[in-house]
Parts: sequence; structure tokens; C-alpha cells
Amino acid sequence: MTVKRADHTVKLAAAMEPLLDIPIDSAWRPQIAAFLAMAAHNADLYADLPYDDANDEAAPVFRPGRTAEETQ
Amino acid sequence: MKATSASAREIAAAIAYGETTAAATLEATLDAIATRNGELGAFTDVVAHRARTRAAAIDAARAAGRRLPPLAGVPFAVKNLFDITGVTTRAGSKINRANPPASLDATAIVRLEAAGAILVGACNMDEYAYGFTGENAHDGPSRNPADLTRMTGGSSGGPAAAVAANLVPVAIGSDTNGSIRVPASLCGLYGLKPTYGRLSRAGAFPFVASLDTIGPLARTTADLAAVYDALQGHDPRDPVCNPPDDAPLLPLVSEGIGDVRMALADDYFLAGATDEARTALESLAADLKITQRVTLPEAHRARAAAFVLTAAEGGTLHLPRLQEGAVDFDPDTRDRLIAGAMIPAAWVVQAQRFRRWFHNEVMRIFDSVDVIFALATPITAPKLGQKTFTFDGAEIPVRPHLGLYTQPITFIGLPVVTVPLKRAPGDLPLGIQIIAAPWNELAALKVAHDIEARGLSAVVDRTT
Repeated sequence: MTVKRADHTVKLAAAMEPLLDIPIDSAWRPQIAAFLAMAAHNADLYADLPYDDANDEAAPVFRPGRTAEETQ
Repeated sequence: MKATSASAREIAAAIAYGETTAAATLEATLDAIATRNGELGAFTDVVAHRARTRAAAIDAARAAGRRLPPLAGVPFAVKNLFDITGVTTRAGSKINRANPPASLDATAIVRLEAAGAILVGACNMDEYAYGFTGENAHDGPSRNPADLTRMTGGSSGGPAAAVAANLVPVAIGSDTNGSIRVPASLCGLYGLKPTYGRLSRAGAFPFVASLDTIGPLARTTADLAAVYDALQGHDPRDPVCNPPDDAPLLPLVSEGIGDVRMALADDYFLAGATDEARTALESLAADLKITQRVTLPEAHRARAAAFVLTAAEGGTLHLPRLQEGAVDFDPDTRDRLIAGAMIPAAWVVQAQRFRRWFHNEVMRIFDSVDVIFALATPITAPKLGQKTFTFDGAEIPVRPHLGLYTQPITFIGLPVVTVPLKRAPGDLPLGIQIIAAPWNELAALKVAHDIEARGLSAVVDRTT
């Protein structure tokens, strides 16, 4: 993925805001956008790595100490 | 023995041998809280009546010749996200105060009281555990006993202040990304973050279900082990609490470290720390003759993925409260949670996939070492209200970033004991992490105990 997620977080926030049904004061928006940009920057660090199917988790409950195969 | 500076085990022994009573110990504790809590901001709730009832029962049991349980008469506190029967669980928030009082105690409280300990109250924390500072917009900050103008660290800031100021010998906190280890480091305490799934979280207000753990803060490693032993065991009330064993560790921690293989984490875990912090860690490593260094691969990406998981799970958890009462949140928490609720699912699922990859890579390191040393925080306690600190040449926000050395570890559920480094007079506290493989809390505790026994760590007595 060549597009940086952080470049699009203002649009993402604007698109998500009506879906969340949270009464957002306009004064809050810069901080919300800043935190979303921080999250996007972080996602850029891992989200496009080439994952093997063995990295899939069987459930959203993470259990340490076992391999992916043992988890499944 | 002075009740307000003795360790939990010293208190229990003094009561068992009739050198003092549970009631006298409790009254000294309540007096200390009444005297010092105003300046410390450690406690938000004190359950004096309940505590006095339990102390009387313990003294009556001893008078009747009954054998006392191992922590009989030991006062303890919990972070205010733990349910206490008859008390509303505020979890650091204003919103939760409209909830009815809890109808059941959290499992941690039930188990510690079964071991004879006496709950004295609930402690301050970052709102909904989403912060590393110990500051709270509703209750005011918890203040660092080493310097009242400085942060305790968070989010278990109140429990850390209570133990570091000798108000109680032990307290129970929670750790999602570093919330036991960061305040343990900044306040100069021992802290134990167990393996994910080891200790029951039932009755503790959640934050990030796939990362949340609970554990003790204490002034000695033996107290950590004693409390940990009391907390151990499967609990059907917590779906992830299914440990492979629950053997007591206290009898084992002083056996010596034998051939425990120790290594120092380099790369990510040294970059960015202050020279003072690096020097302190490397000095300890030299004292322990640790020569091996290990690199946890892509730790910066692990921290990034933990950051996104936390934001997304936390934002989703609190979405109904944000919809109904966003104005009642601490603004710093609110804006982060709203942003978290906006995160696309793909970022979350990829973070989970990366977690498995990172876990498997780190497990390979544990083929050749038993414990890994790393700093717990890159700096000592910031000033209250301080918004940024310098890390690797850049100014970064304090609240989300004080735990950047702890987050990659919680991400894969490893157990960690935090140890306060021995400091020069006047220096602020600073802690290190002793990280072990899943379910191997014993190795981390043994090494921590050895460091304590050699005089290489220190908890400063702050009794006044």
C-alpha cells in the first residue's frame, strides 16, 4: 500500500462521525483528528506486512504460550 | 514493627505472634490515610466500617486459638476499577458514579480476604485506565510520594502512591499496556504484571479485553509473591483465566537464581531513553554480569499494533457512554476514545495477525534465555501537568507514550516483574522490567528477589 493512512484521517473522521452517533463538539475535532492520525501512523507500521495465513487468530481472544497451529 | 512501614509479611507475622493486633494495625493505617491522602490523592474511597469488622473477626479468631491465614490482618487497597460490594465502581470516571453500587466483590478482593487481608479502600486512576500519567480530571491527580509535584504514572497511580507512601503495604492494580509497571517505575516499587490469563479479572472494569491483566504493587518481592499466590487459580467468572498451574511461588522465590539465563534487551528498548536511565540499567546489568543482548524484532511495530488495538477496543467498549454523555468524559480520554471508535476493522485484524507473528518471534528468544531485562520507562517522573517529553530527539506527548517500553510486552501477554533500581540520594525513582516467557512468573520473581537480596534495588522509606 503506497498511500499513507495518516494522509486521509480527516476524511475518515468526517465519514465515521455520523455513523457513531456521538454528539461531537466542533472544538473537539482537531484533537480527535490528531489521535486518529496517530493511530493511522501506527497502522502504517504493521498493516501492510506480508502475513502468512498461519498468523490468523482463531478467535479474538488471544492466548499466549501457544503457536498459531495449536490455537486452531 | 511500625504498621505503616512494615511489609505485608511482617504485619501478618506480628499479628500471628500476638505482637500487635489486626485492629491496631488497621487504625494506624486509617490514621495514615486520613493524614496524608489530601496531599497524595491516592484514595478515592475508604471502607473503614468493613475493614474494622474484618479486623475484629481476625483478632477474635486468634483469641479463640484458630490458625490464621497467611495474610491475616494485612491492609490492602485496590484501584477503583475493582468492584467492592456496596461501593459504586467509578473506574476513574464521572459517568460511572451514576451506576448502582456493586453487588459482588471482585475476585481479587474475595481471594485476598480469604487469605486474611483487609481491604481498606479504592484508589485513584486515569479515567477508564486510558493513560500513563495518574492524572484525573474528576478526582485530581495522584501525586508521587518521591516528589509531590510529579506524576505517579498511570493508570494505577493511586495504588502506587498508596504503597510508596507507606499507607498500605500492598495494592492491586491493573495493567493493559503498562499501568502497573509505569507507576511502579516512577514511584520506585516492585510490581507484577502476570501472564495474560493468569489472574482473574472478574469484577474489574474492563478496558481492552484482549490485553487486560491485574496484579500487585508492593515494597518487597516476597510481598509480591505472597499476594500473587493468594490471587492465583482458575476463575469461571473470567473467560480467559485458565492458567496451566497454580503452585505457590513464595516458597520458591528465595531459592536463588541458579542457572537462570539473563539477557538485556537492546535496540528499541535502549533507543530514546535518557542517558541517566540507560546508565542505570547498564550498571545493573554489569553488576549481574549479564553479557548477552537480545533484540525483540520489530518491537516498534509491536508497540504500534498494541496502540491501535487499545484505541479500537477501548473506543468500542465506551461507544454507548460516548453517545450518551461525551461531555462528562475527561477531555483527554474522550477524544482518544472517539478516535478509537473510528478505526477501521482492517487495522485491528492486521494488528492481531502481527501479534501472533511477534509472539512467535519472541518465543524463539526464550529458547536461549529465561528472562529479559529492559527499562520500564524511558524517563523518571514528569512534572504534573507536563504534556510532552523528549524521546530520541523528538518531543512526544506524555499521556499516550510513557509506556512505550511496556506496551510491546503486554501485546503478547508476557509476565513481568518491575524492580526499582537503587538510586543516588535525591534521584527520582526508576524501574526496570524483568520479562519472562508465558506462565513463567517464577523466573522473573526469582531474579527480582535476587536483585533485592543483593541490595541492587531499593524502595525508599517515605514514612513521615
